[in-house]
Amino acid sequence: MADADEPEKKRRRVVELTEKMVVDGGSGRTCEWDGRWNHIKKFLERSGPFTHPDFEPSTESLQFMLETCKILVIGAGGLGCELLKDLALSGFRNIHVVDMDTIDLSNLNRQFLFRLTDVGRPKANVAADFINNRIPGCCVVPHFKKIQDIDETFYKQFHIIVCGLDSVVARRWMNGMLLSLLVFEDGVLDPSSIIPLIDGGTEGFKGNARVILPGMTACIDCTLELYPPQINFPMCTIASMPRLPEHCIEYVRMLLWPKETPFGDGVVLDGDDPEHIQWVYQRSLERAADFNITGVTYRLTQAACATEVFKIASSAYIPLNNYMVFNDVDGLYTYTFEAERKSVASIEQRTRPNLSKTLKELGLSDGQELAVADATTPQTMLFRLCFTS
Amino acid sequence: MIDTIEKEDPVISEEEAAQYDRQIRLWGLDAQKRLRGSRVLLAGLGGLGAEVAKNLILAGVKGLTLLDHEKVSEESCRAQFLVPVTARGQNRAQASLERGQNLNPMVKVHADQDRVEDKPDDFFLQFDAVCLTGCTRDLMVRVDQLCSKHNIKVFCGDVYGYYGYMFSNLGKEHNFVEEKPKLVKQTGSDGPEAKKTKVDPNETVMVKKTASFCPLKEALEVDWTTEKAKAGMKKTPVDYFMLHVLLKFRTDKGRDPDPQSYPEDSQLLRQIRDDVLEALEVSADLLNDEFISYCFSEMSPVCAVVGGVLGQEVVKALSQRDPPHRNFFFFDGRKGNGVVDYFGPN
Repeated sequence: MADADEPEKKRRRVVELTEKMVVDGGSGRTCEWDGRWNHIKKFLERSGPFTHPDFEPSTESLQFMLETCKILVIGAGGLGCELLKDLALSGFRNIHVVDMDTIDLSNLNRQFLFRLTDVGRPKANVAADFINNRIPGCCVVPHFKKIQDIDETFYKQFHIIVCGLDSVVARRWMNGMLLSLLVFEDGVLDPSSIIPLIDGGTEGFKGNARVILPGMTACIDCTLELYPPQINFPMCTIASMPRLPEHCIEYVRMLLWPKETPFGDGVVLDGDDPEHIQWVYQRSLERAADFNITGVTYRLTQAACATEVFKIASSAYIPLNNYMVFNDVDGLYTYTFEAERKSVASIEQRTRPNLSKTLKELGLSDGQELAVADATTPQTMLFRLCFTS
Repeated sequence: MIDTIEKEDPVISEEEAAQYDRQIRLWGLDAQKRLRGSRVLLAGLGGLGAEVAKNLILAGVKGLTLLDHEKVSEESCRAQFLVPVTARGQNRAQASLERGQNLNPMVKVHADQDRVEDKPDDFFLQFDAVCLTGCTRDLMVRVDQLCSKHNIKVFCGDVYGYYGYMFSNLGKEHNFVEEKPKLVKQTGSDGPEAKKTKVDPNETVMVKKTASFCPLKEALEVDWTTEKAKAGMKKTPVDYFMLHVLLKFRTDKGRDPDPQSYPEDSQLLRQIRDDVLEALEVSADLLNDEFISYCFSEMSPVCAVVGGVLGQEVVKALSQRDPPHRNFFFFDGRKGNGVVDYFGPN
């Protein structure tokens, strides 16, 4: 057991963390009844050998959770719907949800907060309405926006951020945002600036969830190689809301080709046949034009035709201890392990070939300013070049 | 019963194809058709029951009967999301009906207010699968015995605080198909490479398989005094014994551990734990006191996980596709651990 004053130090730190977090007041509504939270109290008012060392069981925890704690849910799709339901039923009251998409008919087989009459409406808005009408006292605030269109003053207000995103790019952006909020004093990380990120994802029958403490544990970038090469897209995006040239090509490959069978019944798309590729390329250009998307090239079409596309279905949210893989079909495999933090940034790996070029070859001169930006992070880094010889 | 349902309505409507598109791409049209022809009975509309109801209704079964004699209490509104806040005092199945039906108008959702134990034997025979939550051990054993005689798939499940389990009995001979990558024999070149059969990543084949399940009674009455059982003890999930304790509590008290009676119920749980471990002739150290504070009420995310697994097992069994879990799944929400294990005669 630790020293006698260790628990006290820890308790003070938890209280400090609570006080320092920038929050609005509670919702102010009272719809309590006697014993409403008895069952949840049981969990919070008991300690045991497995409770986290920093967790101080007390009646204050429940108060904090109900009235003060602000949670941000990113994505109101398959995972988002499940998350909102579980969080609201667990007693969290101040929840915000961000989603840039509208509801499609094909969402209804799993995104259960939506009805047939909601098709076409923004997911965030409909999800919020459903939960607010259903759970007394719960206040879900919707944001029908891209995560990249909201700035740090918004993200700073949350105690916890939970993601049910459908792209690695978006995850990395979120990761970057939270890293940018970290405050270091004399090289020491101020723990009150940490916003835990709980990230989940699903594909077919499989899903995973993990807990990231920016600045302390492995983050999205540290474990980037765990993600498969991003050549797969959610089918709903392809069918009705394409944003990238790749989406247009997938649409033609997966939906138009089997429908129109341009080279005869049962003729499968052959990635090596230039006539097939040409057909897909032309139709992809037309699709892209419909949505004002640029970037469809013959080369991209060729690459896309050589790959497979997976399907996405929803799965349940799992609270856990760093990283867990949940595989339903092959037999259950759950394994929690601690991912290690990488100290080398991955940007370096991608621009490695440039290292062998001289600055002159790269077109740079003395005194020039170099801005380094990436779609995966909100931070742009500025360098001024000073040649010493 | 399963084998006769598929020919009911061979053509899938455009509306169904559009709504079920994402799952048809996952498990195929055949599976969806079988689901479409299946009638399921779900007993108990607590936290876990509501999750299973949601999952089966969304999946598109032909009919789902919600059977529950309990009334909506203060706690019910927080345990599950199908019951509206205004429904206090109403029957739980009846109160869950409207929202349940709204999840998918293509499914026939029906509410029944009777007690499970009062239902005559032939009531169960109209279903292809039966899922029991919140039932006592004796009741589950009786229904399991009756249903498996008539080839009806049986599922049981409960959530106790942070812990949950599901059990399945798909009969002595459950047939299903599994999609496996096609094996391509190497031709031509000599050497070690030629001897290996390679996996063709682009093509799959459907392989027919059979799995055998035992009755619930046998699964719960494993003899732990044999040498083999003792040898396997190290790998045996403790959750199995915890389940025995919680089922005994339910039988003795007629209810589950209640936060309102925390001190008395904890004391009783401790006592039952001692009695159960002694009766099973296993070590008294197997299950320590810790679980007691974490097994009250139903934790919503735990209901979601167990309900998700249970729902998916029902879908697999009805569609006869993909290997079923055999025969228990235990979930420990505190550790984030899930384990599938088989208990029964060998």
